[in-house]
Amino acid sequence: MTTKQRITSILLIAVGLVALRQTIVIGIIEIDQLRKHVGRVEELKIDPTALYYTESQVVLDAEKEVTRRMQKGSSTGP
Amino acid sequence: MKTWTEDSVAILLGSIVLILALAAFLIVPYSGVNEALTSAADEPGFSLENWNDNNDSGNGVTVFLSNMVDASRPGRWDLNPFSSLSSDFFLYAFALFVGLALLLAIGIPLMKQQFSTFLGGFAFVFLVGLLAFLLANQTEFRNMGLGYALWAILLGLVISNVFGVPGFARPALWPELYIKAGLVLLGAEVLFGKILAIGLPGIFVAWIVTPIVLLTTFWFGQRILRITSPTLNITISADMSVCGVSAAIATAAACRASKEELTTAVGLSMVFTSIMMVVLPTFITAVGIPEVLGGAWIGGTLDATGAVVAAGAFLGDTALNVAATIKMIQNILIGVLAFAVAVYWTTRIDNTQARTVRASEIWIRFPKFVLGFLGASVLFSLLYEALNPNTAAVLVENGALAFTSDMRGWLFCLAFASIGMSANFRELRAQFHGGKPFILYVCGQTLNLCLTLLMAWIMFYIIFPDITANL
Repeated sequence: MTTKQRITSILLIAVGLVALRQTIVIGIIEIDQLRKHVGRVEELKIDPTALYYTESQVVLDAEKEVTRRMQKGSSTGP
Repeated sequence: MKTWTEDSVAILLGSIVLILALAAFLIVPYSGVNEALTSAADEPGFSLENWNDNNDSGNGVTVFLSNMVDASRPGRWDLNPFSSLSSDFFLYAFALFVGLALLLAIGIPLMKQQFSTFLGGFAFVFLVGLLAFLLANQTEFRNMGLGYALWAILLGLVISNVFGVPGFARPALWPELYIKAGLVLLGAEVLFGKILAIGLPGIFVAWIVTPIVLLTTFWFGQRILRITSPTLNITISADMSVCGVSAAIATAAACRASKEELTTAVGLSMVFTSIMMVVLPTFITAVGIPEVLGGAWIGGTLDATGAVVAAGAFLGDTALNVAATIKMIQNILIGVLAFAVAVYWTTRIDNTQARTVRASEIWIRFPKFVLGFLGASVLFSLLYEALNPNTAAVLVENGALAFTSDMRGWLFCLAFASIGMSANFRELRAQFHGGKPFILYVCGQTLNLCLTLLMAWIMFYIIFPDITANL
């Protein structure tokens, strides 16, 4: 690859990243569902990039809450 | 001295990290924390969350280790990436680099490789990993679920295809070693005891539907689509039906899939997860599916844990709790999956002459890192059950496992950066020939969506309505 091609590639990648970011920003402004989604993510401090359950405190808390509610339900009876 | 295999070194490196984590986060603080927690638990109105907020169970070593794996990642940023780089970040990133280099200084010579030539290349791979975490922490990218795995692969591909990988970096491109060491650490996070506490409806949704979808998708790929590579087929099938990137990594390592095949599966998963994370809760709201059913549907079908939580949160707190819990049960399948795929590949797929293979032959071919994975899982599961539940939550879940989980994230990031730098772009493009991986993913996910919704409805509304009422 020549130097000119390399510079062009770097510029294209940089422009691609900015364009991707801008598309998401415009999507959040224009699309109501996307705005609500991002609002909840920010409000609850969720990390949507977490791959496994141990990486997310929200998941560990959710597990404890579900267990607590089920135990409470079984101890009080129908 | 005999040359060690990559699998043996991965088990050794994983074991060292696990022993270090257990010593620092469990054994040293155990007596003090256990005593304090036992007496505090007897007091009325005890809450583990409040106790955690008001008590410091760590010491100098644990604080340093936690910061080394956590604060070494760049922080969140919007427009200016430099705003995420603090002096603490540089300090802990350097400490982590030294820590990982010391760890690999034990393993690399055992494989008869020169550590001095490895070190320069490792610094380069580590820098690419840092850059991947930097891009993953850009606010908009992060909110849409575009994580470090995707960025590490993309950066690696850009480096190898635009600039060419520098010669000094090549000795450090050991993707399988990083992946397998990371998978041994992942084994420690697979705690079998957890599923028993959660109850039957979630287990049915996660453990009955998932294997059916996995096997049907694999069969569909082999018999109907006629995908030539069974390793690509099973990696995409596992990725789509179990838990996304983590399942893809474990399956690809167990069946020895190529770097290009793993890249294809991870790319498909991350793109589809980002879309489904927004579309699925929107559809559920539009058609008026109840919160518990919607949460169960999301938990059983979306690939990545973080995306499941984000989509569940959109519907409400109950949906979030149900979705997260079902995903957690599904995550635990990863160990069974890796073991089953390794056995099936050793005895069936690699055994091309379809003859009866001797146990010794199976042992030679079997990917040994799977044993490290299962050993870590059994050890940590037993440990978790043996301890007082509060002590286990503080010292194991929020202590040792929080450290090993971050460390695993770093090893996976280094692996993906190495994969990107050593993957062949032409071979990667060839994977998509005829759009078969795309068709496989879409058809498998469609089946997954239908079966999970049906099973969740049967379990939560027909068989266990009393449990649903309490949620």
